[in-house]
Amino acid sequence: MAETTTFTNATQILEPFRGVKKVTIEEYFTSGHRTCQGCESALVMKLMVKAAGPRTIVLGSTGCMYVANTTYYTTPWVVPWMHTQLGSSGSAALGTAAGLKALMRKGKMKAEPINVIAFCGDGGGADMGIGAISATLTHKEYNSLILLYDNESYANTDIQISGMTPFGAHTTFSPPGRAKRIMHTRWKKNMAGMMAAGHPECRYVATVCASYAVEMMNRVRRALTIGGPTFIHSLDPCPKGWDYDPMLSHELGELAIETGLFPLYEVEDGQVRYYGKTKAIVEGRARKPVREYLLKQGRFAHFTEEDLAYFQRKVDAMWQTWEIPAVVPFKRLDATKSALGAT
Amino acid sequence: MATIVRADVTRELVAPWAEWERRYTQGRRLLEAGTYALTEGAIAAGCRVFAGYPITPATDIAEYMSKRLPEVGGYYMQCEDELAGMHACAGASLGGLKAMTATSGPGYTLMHDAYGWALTNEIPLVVVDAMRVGPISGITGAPGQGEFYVARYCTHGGNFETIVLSPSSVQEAFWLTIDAFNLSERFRTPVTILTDQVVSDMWEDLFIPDAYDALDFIVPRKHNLMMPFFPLGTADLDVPPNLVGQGTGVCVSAYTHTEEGYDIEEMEAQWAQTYRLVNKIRHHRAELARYETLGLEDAEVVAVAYGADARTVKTAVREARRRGLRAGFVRPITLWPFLDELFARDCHYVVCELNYDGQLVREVTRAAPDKGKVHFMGKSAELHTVAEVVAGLEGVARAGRIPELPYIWTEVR
Repeated sequence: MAETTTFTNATQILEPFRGVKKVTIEEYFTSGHRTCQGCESALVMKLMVKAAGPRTIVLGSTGCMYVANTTYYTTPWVVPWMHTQLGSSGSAALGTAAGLKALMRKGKMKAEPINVIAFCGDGGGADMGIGAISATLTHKEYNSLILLYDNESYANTDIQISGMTPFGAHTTFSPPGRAKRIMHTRWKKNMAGMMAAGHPECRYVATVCASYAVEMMNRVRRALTIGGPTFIHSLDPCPKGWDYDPMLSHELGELAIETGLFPLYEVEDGQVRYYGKTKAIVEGRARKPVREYLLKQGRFAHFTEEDLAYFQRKVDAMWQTWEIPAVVPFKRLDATKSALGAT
Repeated sequence: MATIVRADVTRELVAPWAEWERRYTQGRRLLEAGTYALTEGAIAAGCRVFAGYPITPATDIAEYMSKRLPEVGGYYMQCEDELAGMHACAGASLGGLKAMTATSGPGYTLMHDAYGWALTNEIPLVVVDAMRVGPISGITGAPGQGEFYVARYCTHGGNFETIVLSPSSVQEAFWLTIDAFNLSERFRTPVTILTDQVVSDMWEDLFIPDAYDALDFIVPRKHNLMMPFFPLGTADLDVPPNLVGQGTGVCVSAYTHTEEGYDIEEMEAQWAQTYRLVNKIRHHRAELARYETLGLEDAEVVAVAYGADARTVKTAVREARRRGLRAGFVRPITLWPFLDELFARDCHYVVCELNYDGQLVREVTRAAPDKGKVHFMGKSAELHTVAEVVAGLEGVARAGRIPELPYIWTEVR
C-alpha cells in the first residue's frame, strides 16, 4: 500500500517566465473587487493566480483579501475560490489537497495535477493560523502552497497590531501620544525564516515582493512545481494602513528590499539563495538607510532620531550578526563551528 | 363595546443602577457609542487589563481600551487570537487585577476552552460578546441574538451555571458593565455581557459620573491568601478571588480539584465541586434578578424581548395599549440564570428575538404556566418594527395567533 503515501506527487511543471514580455496574458483575478487604490495585496492575488494558471483552486482565510473580494454579488476570481475561517488556511489547504488526491486515487475524478493555493493575511497566518500552517508544512504527501500576504496589520478590521506589525508603527491599537510615543514595542516575526528552519520536509520557502512582479510570479511557479507543502511570504505595502500616497506602493516595496529590512530569498531543499536586489546587498552593495523607507510612511511619523537609529541598529544586526544574514537569527558560533569541523 | 385600557401603566426596572442613577447626578453628558460606554464602565469598575483581538463589532472596545488603559495605569494587550485573549485575562485576574475581553460570536466560540477553565477555577473576569447575525461570520454589521444558549452553555462538560447580562441602551451598557464586574468579583466567576451590534455601534445620550473613585458601590478586588482556596461543597458568596505568585500556595488546574486546587479523581470531589459551581449561583438567584417590565398589572398579551430588540418592542407595546389592547412588556436583563418568575402570570406571551430558530422562546415556554399561550416572532439581521410587533400582539389578542408577516418566523420545533 506504499503508493498511497509517497512523495512522488505529480505537479504541474510551470517553467519560469523569462522576462515580462513572456508572461501569459490571461487573467484569473479580474475586475469585481473593491480593494483600496494602490493595494499591493490585490496585485499579489492577481500575480499569484496568473502564475499558477487555470487549473488552480484558491482558498482564502478571513482578511481584507477575503472581504474586499467577495462582497455584494461580485468577485474577481475566475478560478474556484473558497473562504476558510480566520486561523485555518493551512488546514483547509491540506484538506482540499487530500480530498483531491483521494478522489483521483479512487478514480472518481480525472487524475491531473491541480494547484491548491491557500492565502492568508499576516493576522490569519502569522498570529492565529500559525499552528495550522506549521502542521501543513509537515504533511509532505499533499501539494499545497500557502501564501502569506503581509500588509503588517489587521487591515480588514481597520488597522490593528498583528504579530507582523513593525516596531513603533501607529495602528488603531497603538496610537502614539505625548505621554508615550512608542506604543508598540515588539519586533516583527521572521515568518519565512521560521517556516524554513522549522520544517525539515518542506521543500520550498520563499519571500517575494510584488514590486518585482516577474520574480514574484516565478517564485510561485517554482513552489507549485516542486510540490509538497510550500510557503511564500509576500510583503505588501498598504496605503491605508501604512499611511502614504497610493502611488508610492511600488516604491515602498522596493525600498523595503533596498534598505535590507525585507530580504528576498528562497530556500529550496535547505539551500538558501538570495535573489534580486537582496543578492546585490549580499554581494556588497550598500544598503539604503532605513529612514528613507520609514519616513515615507505616516505610521512612523512620530519617530524621533532616536527611534530611527534604533530601527537602523536592529536592521544592521540582521545583516551583521545573524548566522545566515537576514534569514536565520541565531548568533554566529564560529568557535563551535570550527570545533565541530575539526573532529 | 370599547375596551378601557389604562395609559399610565407602571414601568418597573429592577436593577442596581436604578438606584445608582438617582444617587450620582454630577458628571458629563455625552453623545457616545455603546462600545465607549462598555469601555468606560469597565474602567470605572476598576478594570486594569484588557487582552483581546479585533473583531467587528467589538473592535472599538479594544481600540478605546488601548487608549484608556495606559492613562489609568492599566495594561492593554493585543493577542494572537481570542483564545489567547481570554486566557491572558484569566491570568491577569489570577495575578490580582480586574480584567476584561471583548469579542463577537466567532471569537466567543473560540473562547469556550478558556471560559471553562476560568469558570472551574472561579476566576472573576468579564467577557463582552457583541452578537452579530450568524451562523459563523454571518453579517458583520447586522444585529443577531444567536448566542442566548451559547452563553449559557459556554463550555463543555456540564455541571455549572453562568451569569449573563444584556443591556439595551448605551447608558445601560455603562452601568451594566460595572454591575458585571461586581458580580464577577462576588460570585468568583466569568460574567458575559451579551450585547449586540446595535447596542455596541449605536451612538446615544450617555451620562458618566465625574469621579470614578467616589462610586461607593464598586466591589473592590480582594485577595484570598488562605485555605480553602476553593470552598467546595458550599455556596458562599463574597469569597475573595485567589491570587497566584504571592506565596499563597494555591494550585490552578483544569481537572476536578481539591480545596487546595490539586487534581483529584474521586466522585465525592466531583460532587463537591459541582455543588459549589452550580449552587453559588442557584442559591443566590434573587440577587441576580435584573429586568424591566411595563404594564404587567392588567396585561393579557405580554411581549418579551431583550437587548436592542427590546427598544422597538417596548414602543410597540405602548402603541398597542394606545389602540386599546391590554399589552404588557418584559425585558429580562439577566438572561442567565433565567428569571422564571417573570413569566408566572397566566397570559399570552409574544417572544420577539433576532434569530429564526427560537432560543429565548424555549425558556419562556418552559417557565410559562400555559405553554399553548407562548408565541414566537423570530426575525434576523434587523430589529422588529413597531408595526410588526403591534400586528403580532393584535393577532394574538384577537385570534390567538400571530398573523403571517414577511421575514417573521413563528414556528418553534
